[in-house]
Amino acid sequence: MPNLKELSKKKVRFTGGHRMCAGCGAPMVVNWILKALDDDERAVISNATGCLEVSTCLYPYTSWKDSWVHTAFENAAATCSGTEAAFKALKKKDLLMESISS
Amino acid sequence: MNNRKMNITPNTTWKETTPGGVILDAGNAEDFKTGDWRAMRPVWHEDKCKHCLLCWVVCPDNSILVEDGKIKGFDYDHCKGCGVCTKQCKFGALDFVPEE
Amino acid sequence: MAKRVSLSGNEAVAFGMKQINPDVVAAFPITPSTEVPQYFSQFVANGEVDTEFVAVESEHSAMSACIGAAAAGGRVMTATASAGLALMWEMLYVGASMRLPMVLAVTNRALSGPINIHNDHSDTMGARDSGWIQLYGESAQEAYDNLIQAIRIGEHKDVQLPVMVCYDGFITSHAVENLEMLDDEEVKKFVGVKREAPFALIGQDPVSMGPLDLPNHYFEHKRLQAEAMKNAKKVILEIAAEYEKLTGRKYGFFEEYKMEDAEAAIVVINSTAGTAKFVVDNLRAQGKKVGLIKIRVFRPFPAEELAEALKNVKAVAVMDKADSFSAAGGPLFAEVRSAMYGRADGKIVTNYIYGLGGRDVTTTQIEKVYADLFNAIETGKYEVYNYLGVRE
Repeated sequence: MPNLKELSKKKVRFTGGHRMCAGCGAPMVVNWILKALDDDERAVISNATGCLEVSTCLYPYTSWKDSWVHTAFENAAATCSGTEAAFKALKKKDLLMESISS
Repeated sequence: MNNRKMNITPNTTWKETTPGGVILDAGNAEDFKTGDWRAMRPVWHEDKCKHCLLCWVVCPDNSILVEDGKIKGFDYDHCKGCGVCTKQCKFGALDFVPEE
Repeated sequence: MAKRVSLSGNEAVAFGMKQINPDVVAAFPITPSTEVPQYFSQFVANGEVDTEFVAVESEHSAMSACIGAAAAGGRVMTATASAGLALMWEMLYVGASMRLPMVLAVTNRALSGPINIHNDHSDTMGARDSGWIQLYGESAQEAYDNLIQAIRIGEHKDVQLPVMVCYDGFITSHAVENLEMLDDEEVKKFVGVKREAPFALIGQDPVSMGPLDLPNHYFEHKRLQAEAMKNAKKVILEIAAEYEKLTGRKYGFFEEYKMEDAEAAIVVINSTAGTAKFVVDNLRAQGKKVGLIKIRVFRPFPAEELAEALKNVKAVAVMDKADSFSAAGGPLFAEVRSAMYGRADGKIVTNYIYGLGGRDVTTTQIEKVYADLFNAIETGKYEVYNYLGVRE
């Protein structure tokens, strides 16, 4: 388990400039979830409709440095299952050269 | 301002906008300043700081700058002045004062 | 070389999907489209395709997973009908507005309620303004041909929109017909191995898709989406020309049957065109100048071309296998009459709602429609809004 000093050296995957209310806990949670990734990994984040979604990706600005997708309120997992399936298929067909965490 | 792939402004026409509202510049929210939301401002006293990083842990706006495991200062372009960092500081290294 | 086969519409579509070998199929079963994912999941299980099959818990999730897969840059297909399409509703709009090419085979079936498993067009007609391209086919052959072309149409760089391939439930989906299939290699060459996505969640620079879009940008995005649908008209014809070179089978926005000197014409969609062509042949043998137009492309709607095709008729009956409950005619009628306004004025244009919930439409009924049209031409007296085959 890395300590805080080590974690502070990990790359920043979520930026300021989002419109969450001052002091909101959600952006902290996001920051800390994304710290689980190694620096050479790429993520796809599937976000359900809500405060976090509308405030962190308000056209033309996004706080997400990884790929991020929002489709609707009730289906973030279903959306992500499709992304994961596409990743597996493209990988299997040798049409994709990268690793990914979702 | 960073180099960006798209340049969308309030005057961008439909022919110049991105299909489906895709955002091609991951992380470009950095360009949007939320510093003017502030009514109160955190003030850092380097001499009292133990560099425990707990303020950095709780900052919702990535506004506490850390290099090599040490606090370097504040990003007042994005800090919204929520004061969460000042509340958790046990060493009196962070004051919370009204914006002038 | 192409081969002659005897297949049901659903089999033809499932075999077409196998030849296309998409990256992802996420589907949920519903009569009468169940066989499509059923056959296709067998191909997956047997290792005959490279596709990832996602067995989802609902059609809403099926379309959500398809959107997630298409957003990732994959080539995506699925199938549904009726209430299944209705459950996808929210996501149909999202997929189209995110500009994600996908191909959805729809076996047209009546919408509940009351629940009914048989054919009419209320499902896809309801989805007509969802932003999807809609292709309709009279037979298993046309369903297959539309399916192969749909991949190319939706993925074209000037289009980037999802496509519905619609054919009649049971009448086309379950009846076995003779048709001509392309070789696997020919299909592979026609559609290409990989979808070229202009942006994608994986395999390219990271992007954010599906943002909050407020009043200062939303309108521009919708306008750009509308332009893609306009572009689709040109692309549909280009792909059809290329497909004709390969197969000898000609496709356009609609089929004109004996329209050259027709005075009375019927405009119709899907399998009923077969019944109506039989009537046209019989009436022609009696010297009556009758013709028929069968719509293939309903979205984008070929308004100018249709008005041109109808400019020499005296009377037109537009046949709707769906009621819009607008108290002003069915959806096809509204489009056709609007297309004629200012382009083919002064015609008698009537509407017949027919065949709801799978009610058979007979040659006698279609003969009556033509008789009504000739009577209208002679006397000037007619009803605009009619129901055909309902017990009065």
